[in-house]
Amino acid sequence: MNLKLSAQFKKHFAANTIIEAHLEVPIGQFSTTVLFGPSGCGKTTVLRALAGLERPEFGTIQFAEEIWLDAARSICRSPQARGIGFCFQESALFPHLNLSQNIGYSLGRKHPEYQQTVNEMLDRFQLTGLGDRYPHQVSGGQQRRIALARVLARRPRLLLLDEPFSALDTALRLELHAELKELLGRFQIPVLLVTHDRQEAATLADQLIIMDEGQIQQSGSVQEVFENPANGEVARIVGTEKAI
Amino acid sequence: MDTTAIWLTLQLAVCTTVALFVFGLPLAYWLATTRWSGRILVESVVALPLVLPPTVLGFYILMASGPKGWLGQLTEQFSGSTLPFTFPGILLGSILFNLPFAVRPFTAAFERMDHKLIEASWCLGVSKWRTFWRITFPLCWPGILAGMVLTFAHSVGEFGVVLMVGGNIPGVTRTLSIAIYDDVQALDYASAGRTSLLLLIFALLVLTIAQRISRRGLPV
Repeated sequence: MNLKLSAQFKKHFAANTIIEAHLEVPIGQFSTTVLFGPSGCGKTTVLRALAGLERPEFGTIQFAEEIWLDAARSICRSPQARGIGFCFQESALFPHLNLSQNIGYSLGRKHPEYQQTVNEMLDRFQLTGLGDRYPHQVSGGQQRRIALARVLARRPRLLLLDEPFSALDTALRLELHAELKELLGRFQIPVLLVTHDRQEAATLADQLIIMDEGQIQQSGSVQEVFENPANGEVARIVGTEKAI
Repeated sequence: MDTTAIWLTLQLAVCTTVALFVFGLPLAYWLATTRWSGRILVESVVALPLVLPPTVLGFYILMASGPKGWLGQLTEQFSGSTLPFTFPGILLGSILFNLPFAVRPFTAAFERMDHKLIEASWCLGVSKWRTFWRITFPLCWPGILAGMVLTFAHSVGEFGVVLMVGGNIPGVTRTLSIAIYDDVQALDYASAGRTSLLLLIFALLVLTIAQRISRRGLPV
């Protein structure tokens, strides 16, 4: 099946900043789409609009047959009703809940599979035995894992990751890249990941979307984009020597 | 010491605090989250009692809730009586006068809160209402509690509004600070001194607690 999330929208900010996006993310099967571009180019805004945390003034967002946003008809689905998982740049763990409670938060204690899911997630993310600790009592890498486990616990239909490793040091980042790829493959949930790190984009992406100055510049497979950048801007961003 | 006045004052302070918790919390949450430009006007109205003489507020409440005022006619229609010189009357005055002492700390607590956590909860499929009670409220609790403690303490010492709206009826509107005023008028300095000392110790205690809560968070 060739299901996809397609979005065309425009959002204005103060000081005449405009974020405009035209993009498609495959959602039928597991694949990783990377939204790649320099810091401050509007990637996070695009992700937030897809999650329903920002409301663009113009455009549409459609998830397979579901309409998430139709600005002309004043339709905007709430984040709760989109069935997605969103991982913030910072882990955004709930500081007053322990790791188990963080992971099980979306299910609620009364959910029949609460305990089973929490235990399973702790095991899968190599956090066995740490369920009673609080977020400030574990390392940065463990916090990232908990954030991911919390989002995956309720099996979202699409996973949105905003610069998941930006706060970590390089060695840990490389270690987690491999781990993430393997984990995401096991869950079979399509992913849209935002990053400004070229290596991260190249390592993780199946499809690549290049963004700069509030606009989508090019999309395609990693090879396509790296070998045939659409314009000088893209060439500069992906760092292709051909541009020179 | 005037135990009736102590009891009445406690009742007034508890009712004021509870009422401001119920009404002030949604108002503060709205103030902390709205992007509406008229917000500043609402904030000014909330802060007004900080600078307005209590007698002025009391005067307006008296005018509005008297038999010829709009509020007075409304209460007369529903309950058959008016508010001046009754407990509900001084309660209304106390609530309005304490608005900033509750709403401002509440708003500050909500504003300090990391909004990402609220958004994270929404994206996990949890409704706004449940998010408020499971995330926002527990994390803002020290600020909310500090606001409630301040409100309680401040309404214990309220004088001007209570005197204007309630007068000085023992057991109905004669609170501790009015009892002190009354004792002094009657040249009973010994009784006034005892009540004053009680209020002084109480105020000092409450302020210490409030500062401790807002500085260190809650002792868990």
